[in-house]
Amino acid sequence: MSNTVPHTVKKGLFRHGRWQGFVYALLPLLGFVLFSLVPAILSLITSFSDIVGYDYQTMQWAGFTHYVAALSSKDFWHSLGVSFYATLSQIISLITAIIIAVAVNRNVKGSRFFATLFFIPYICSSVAVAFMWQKIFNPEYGIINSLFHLDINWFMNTPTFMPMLILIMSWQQAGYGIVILGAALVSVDRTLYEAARVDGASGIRQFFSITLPIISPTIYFLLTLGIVGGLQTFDIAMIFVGGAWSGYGPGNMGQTLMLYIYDKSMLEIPLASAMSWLLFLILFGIQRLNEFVSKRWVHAE
Amino acid sequence: MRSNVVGVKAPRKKFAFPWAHCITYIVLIAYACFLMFPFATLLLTSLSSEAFIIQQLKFRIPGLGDMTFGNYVDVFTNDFVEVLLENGNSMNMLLLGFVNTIWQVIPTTAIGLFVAGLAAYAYAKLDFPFKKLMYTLQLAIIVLPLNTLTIPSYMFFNMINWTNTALPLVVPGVFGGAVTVFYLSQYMRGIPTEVVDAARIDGLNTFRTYLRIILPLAVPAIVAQAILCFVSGYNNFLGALLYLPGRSDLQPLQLQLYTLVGYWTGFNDSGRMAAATLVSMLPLIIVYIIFRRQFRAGIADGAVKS
Repeated sequence: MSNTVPHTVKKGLFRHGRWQGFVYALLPLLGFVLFSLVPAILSLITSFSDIVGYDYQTMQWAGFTHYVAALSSKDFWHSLGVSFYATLSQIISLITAIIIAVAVNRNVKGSRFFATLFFIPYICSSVAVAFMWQKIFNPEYGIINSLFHLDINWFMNTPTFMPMLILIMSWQQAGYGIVILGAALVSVDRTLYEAARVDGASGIRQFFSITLPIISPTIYFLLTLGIVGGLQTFDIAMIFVGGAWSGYGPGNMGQTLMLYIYDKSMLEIPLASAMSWLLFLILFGIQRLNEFVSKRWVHAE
Repeated sequence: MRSNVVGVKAPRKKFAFPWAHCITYIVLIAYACFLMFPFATLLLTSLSSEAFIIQQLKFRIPGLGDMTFGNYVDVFTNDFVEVLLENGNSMNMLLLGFVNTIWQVIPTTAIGLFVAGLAAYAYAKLDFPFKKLMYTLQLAIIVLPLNTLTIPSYMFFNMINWTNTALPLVVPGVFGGAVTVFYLSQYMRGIPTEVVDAARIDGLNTFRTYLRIILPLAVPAIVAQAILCFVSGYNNFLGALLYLPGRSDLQPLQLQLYTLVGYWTGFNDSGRMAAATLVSMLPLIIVYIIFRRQFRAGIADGAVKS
């Protein structure tokens, strides 16, 4: 390709960067097709097949058998329930994030330091976070039991097991919301508060009538993202319960859907694929529903 | 507008005890304590000597005399936590984890960003056939909850014989992520077209324009995205768990840590386990503190625009 530039020609096949642009833009799409779309289609086919091990040559059409098996199994619904329960952590961290982001945004001295600090848990790996909290909740020598004079076996007690995981996940995730809500809060027009103050609105009143409506699209975005993330909880559950070989925690309360799919993928890849696609549809449905609801409810500028 | 606000605010300082400030500080400090409390206990445990831990039987803050860096030394030197490599040598698990994470994550992040930036540049500044269609596709990818299909994708990587190699963790990222392309193209749209035109008149071809003009101007956006890619690569656990269960010599940091702590579940191992966990987190925390502004900018912009 020559470097000479057609100064005047604006249209035509050889317009500056025509084919290059196509090639440049094609690469990420090619990556998507090769490593997301093809695997996705293969897993879709697998979910409708019977198979020996992972050997695709033994594939045989099985129709909706695996979907029926998944939907009629107690384990699937239980895991889905556990995943929804785990999603509570996202709602708690969202509420925490709103409060903290508003506090940070008041720009008191040191608020930059706090903003830096508050994001640290979010960048820590779930593996490290899980180990860290396992020490804290350890029934024999953990600090929680000795600090509050409790005698709870946190790892084996059914009613407190998921609240413990929720606390840990909220601890880890709130930082993300704080950063994003912080960015949204900065964009709020300060003169609105001045006007409200002149009208005699209290701080709380200002929060509910000015701040909250303006950041509501961001809150909604975080909520959707949180539900999608929460339903895919895996790492922490895996570390706290160990999965198929060591059970799913007390009352199977650590059996999130992703963990269950992971375990099933070892021996029953078609069933695991079917459940993955069901989860895909559920998440896609939730996203679409949220988009629909947000158009009607959420304050738009 | 800003100066106006300050002008209104200034006289308020003269009267009224700053209750609002006090409450703000209480909230901020309380939350900071809540967040730092696990790190503090982990740090104290990692500094406790084994003798102290056994003697106390409960979590106690070690006195200066009971403190030791022995656990940190142990984490890197204990014969028990070594992995046999293919060449017959053995290597400390945590060190090997760092080495593997670095060679698996950094090239992927770098190449992936270069490629994503190229595509973003094409969408932002070039005109080409099927541009609209391709951009629509690129956006549609972001919306799909593709992560749910991570586990059954094993089928595919097994079919092309990539299991038990690092390829499934390295190669897909090289093509540039959809979110990165979107974010970078939004950013590059802000670069004036005159700059690109001037480069063209100077005789630069499209690729050179990207290298010499666009890339340098897009550095803030690229750094922000690079950090995000690096963090998710560094913390990736499920990927390694799926594709490298039998290859301890290739396993990245998170999986090495997982195995290592699996050895040290005993009460007397608390100190070592805490030290290993802390060491695994430290590099990323340091990177974050250095690049904190780019970190938050990248995250905030990426979310607000999508």
